[in-house]
This record gives sequence, C-alpha cells and structure tokens, in this order.
Amino acid sequence: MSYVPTVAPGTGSRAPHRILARESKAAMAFVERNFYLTKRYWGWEVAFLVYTAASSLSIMFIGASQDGDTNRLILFLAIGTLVWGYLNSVFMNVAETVAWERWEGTIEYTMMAPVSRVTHMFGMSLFAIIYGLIRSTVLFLVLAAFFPEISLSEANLTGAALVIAAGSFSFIGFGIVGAVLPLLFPEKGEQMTLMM
Amino acid sequence: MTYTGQHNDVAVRFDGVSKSFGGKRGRDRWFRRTNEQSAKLVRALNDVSFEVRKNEIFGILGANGSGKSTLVRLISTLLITDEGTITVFGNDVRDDEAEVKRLINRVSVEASFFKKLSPMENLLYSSRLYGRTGSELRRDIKQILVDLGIPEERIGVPLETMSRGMQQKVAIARAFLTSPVLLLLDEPTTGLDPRSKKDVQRFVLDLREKHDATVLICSHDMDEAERLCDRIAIMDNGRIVATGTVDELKDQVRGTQGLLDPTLEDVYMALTGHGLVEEKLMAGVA
Ligand SMILES: Nc1ncnc2c1ncn2[C@@H]1O[C@H](COP(=O)(O)OP(=O)(O)OP(=O)(O)O)[C@@H](O)[C@H]1O
Ligand SMILES: [Mg+2]
Repeated sequence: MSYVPTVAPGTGSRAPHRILARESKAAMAFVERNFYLTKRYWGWEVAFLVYTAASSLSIMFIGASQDGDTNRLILFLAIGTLVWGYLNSVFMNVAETVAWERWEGTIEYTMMAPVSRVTHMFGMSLFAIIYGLIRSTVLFLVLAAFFPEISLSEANLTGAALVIAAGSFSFIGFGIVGAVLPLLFPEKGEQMTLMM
Repeated sequence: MTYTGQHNDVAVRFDGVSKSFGGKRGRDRWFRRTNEQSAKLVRALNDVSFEVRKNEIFGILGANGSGKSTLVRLISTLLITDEGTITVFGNDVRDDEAEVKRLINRVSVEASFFKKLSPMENLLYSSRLYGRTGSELRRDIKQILVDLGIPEERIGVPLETMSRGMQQKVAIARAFLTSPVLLLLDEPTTGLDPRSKKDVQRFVLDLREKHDATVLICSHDMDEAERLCDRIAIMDNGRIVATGTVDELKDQVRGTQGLLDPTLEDVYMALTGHGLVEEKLMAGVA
C-alpha cells in the first residue's frame, strides 16, 4: 500500500484571504469540469453549433434578399443573432447547473463539499461567460465566411462589451433563478436521486 | 479533572435524532393538500442516540429501509433533522455546516459520477472542491487508483465504460483523496468481488491507522462488519436496538433462544425478530 494522502484537511482557516483563495480554487473546479464535459460531448457541441449557425444564416439571407443597400441590415442581423446566441448559451449553462448534476447523480457530492453556493454559482457563471464568448467567436467566423461584407473594423467595441456585460448579468440572474427552482423542492430531489 | 459531559474523544454524537419523510409538513402545507392527498408519513429515524469515538470504526447493521442512509445523509448535511442534534467533532451539523463539510467525506452504494468523464477528470473535480491543487494531485489520483487495482490505461477513459465494481473503487478513491477526518461509508463494498472487498477493507483500516480517521460504515454484510468494526449498532425500523462490540452483542443474546455460541447473524435475528438476508432477498434489488 503505497498511497498516503498528503493533505490533511483539518480545520479550515477563517481569515478572509484564505477563504477567498479556497473558494476561488473551488470556482475553478467547476470551470475545469465543465470544459472537460464540453470536450467529451464535442459531438453535441458541433451539432448544436451547426444548428445555431444555420438559423443565424437563414436570418441573414432573409436580410440579404431585401432591396437596396443590405450591408447595414445584414450586419445588424448578424450582431443580433450573435448576441442572442451568446446570451442564450449563458442562460442555459447557468440554468442547467442543478438539473444536470441531478441527472448525473453527482448533486449530493457537490452539495456536501465544503463550497458555498455562491461560489458554485460563480464558477458556473464564469464558465458560461467564457464558453459563450468562445462559441460566439466561432459562430462569427462562420457567418463572416458566408458574408464577407460584415466586418468589425468600424465596430464600437466598447459599446459592444458594455451591452454583452449588461446582458450577461441579467441572463445569469435569470439562469440562477432557473437553477435554484428545483432546489426549492429538495426532498423531492432526494427521492429522485437516491432511493436506496 | 472536570467532566463537561462532552468527551473530546467523541467523533460523532447523535442526541435524540428523528427524521420523517412525507406527511403534512413543509411543501404539503404550502399546497394545502388534503389528508388523502398527502403522502404517508415515514419515520426514517426515530429518537436515535449514539456516540462514535475518535479513531473508531463504527458499524451500523440494518435491513433495507431501516434508516441507515438517512442517518448518513443527516451527518453529511444533505438532510436536516426534525428533532434532536448531531455533532461532528463538537460541531453542530446545522450551525457549523461549513466546518463539518470540511471534516467529512462519504462513499455510497451508487457511484455517482459524470459518466462521460474519465476517473482522472472526475477525481480532479471532486478533489479541487476540497481545496486540493497542484501537480501532486494528478500523481496521487493515479497512485490511489492503481493501488485499488484499476489498470493504468483505464484512468483516462470515460467512466461509463467501467464495471460497477470499478466505479465503486473510483468512488472510494474520491473520498480517500480528501483525507477526511470522518469517513462515512454507506455499503461501500456492495457489488464488489471478494478480492476487491478485501482491497477496500484494507484501505479502510489503513486510513484509520495512518491518518487517525474515524469511520462510520453501514452494511448488510455481517462478515465485513465483524472484521472491520470496533463497535456495532444494530438498527431496525429507524431505531437503534443495540450497541456494542461484537462480543458484547453476542453476550447479550447468549443463552436466549437456545443460542450457545451465537453468530452476528443470530444476534441480529434475536434482537430484531427477523433476518437480514431473507429480507434483502424479498426486497429485491433496492
Ligand atoms: N427522500 C426520501 N423521501 C421519502 N422517503 C424516504 C426518503 N429517503 C428515505 N426514505 C424512507 O426512509 C426509510 C429509510 O430509508 P433509508 O434509505 O435510510 O434506508 P436504508 O437503511 O439505507 O436502506 P437500504 O439498506 O435499502 O439502503 C425508508 O422507508 C425510505 O423509504
Ligand atoms: Mg441505504
């Protein structure tokens, strides 16, 4: 028997900077785990991305079929679908926090870990934002391949960042409400998970 | 020497703990269900009191539905008591929830993992929740899995491709990696082959020896209980009907019902009035 655990958990320090360090490590645990999951479910990711790209493109082709100078309209639609796609994915990721873990059966282990619920939600939101941004970038590149005329050279990047940040906050808020709803019925959740 | 009533060698203390499910409480009251609609009240734990001493391996033996898992979930802060108090090393599970969580970990019958993730990925996640980081974490995960008999090439492939017994070993690794001061084992070896059972039992003994851990283990398995446990509580229908070392329990029934040299099985039968194994068969795969 050669394995000897190296870290004894002992009593956790209550000094604020220690708590912060501990909780941010835990928040990163959620981010890392979700990236692993995304990697393992890459088939679904691709399918979902193709679907979103197709619907975005169809909206833009409708725009392109209009009379007159359509460039502005197409750009407008592209940004609209991108922002919507981004916010939608942020919302879904956060809202599924609890439902997903319940489905996997890991929820009890996450809940009994020494991690505050705030940290849990923070970690999930952080992942949702990073994931959403990556996904939107890929989507933008796909759209740009079909419509070379859309260009970000004149874009108001600060304005865009502000819109995205404000949107992220409110959608994360909705997401958390969605995620917490099943928790209002904890004992029912118990029934669903482990009736042994 | 002053006696405060709180031994500092007590790891877990249950004091008059009751827990019911269903019935006209909580949610049912909100929705104003009538009597017929509300679920029947199940008293999973009924005025349970006992103490587990520090560094002890304490067994809980009971049939299906006797309340063992409920007891473990109450200690794990996953459920809240209706009545009574539970302390873990002097910390109340309700008032000092965060502290208690840092001290414990648990292995239950169902492995409960992200099935598409590999053992390595699952264990990285669960260990990080307990504040473990760094390169030695990966090394430790590999080491413990190999020690438990998981082939090295399986450590990186999705867990869903593994047998139940192997998944159970990963679950055991998950708990051990956080070096819990109190380890809660809810039927940890159910479904393991005899060799794996032995491996796990050896690990449990090791954890106690080398890390001063306290272990609470729920089981149906009389041999396992007898081999591992310093003391055993016998549970029936939400109540603890007897507590003691194996010998004490045997003494308690010796001579009754013509039992001269009672086995643990006999003790169980005599104290609860029914068998453990037969009932398990009748209840089917729970
Ligand atoms: N979440 C729940 N909701 C309703 N009833 C529950 C819940 N959890 C447990 N029970 C009931 O409480 C009683 C005790 O269940 P528990 O799971 O603690 O038994 P157990 O001793 O672990 O059984 P087993 O040996 O089958 O694992 C049972 O009657 C069970 O139906
Ligand atoms: Mg159980």
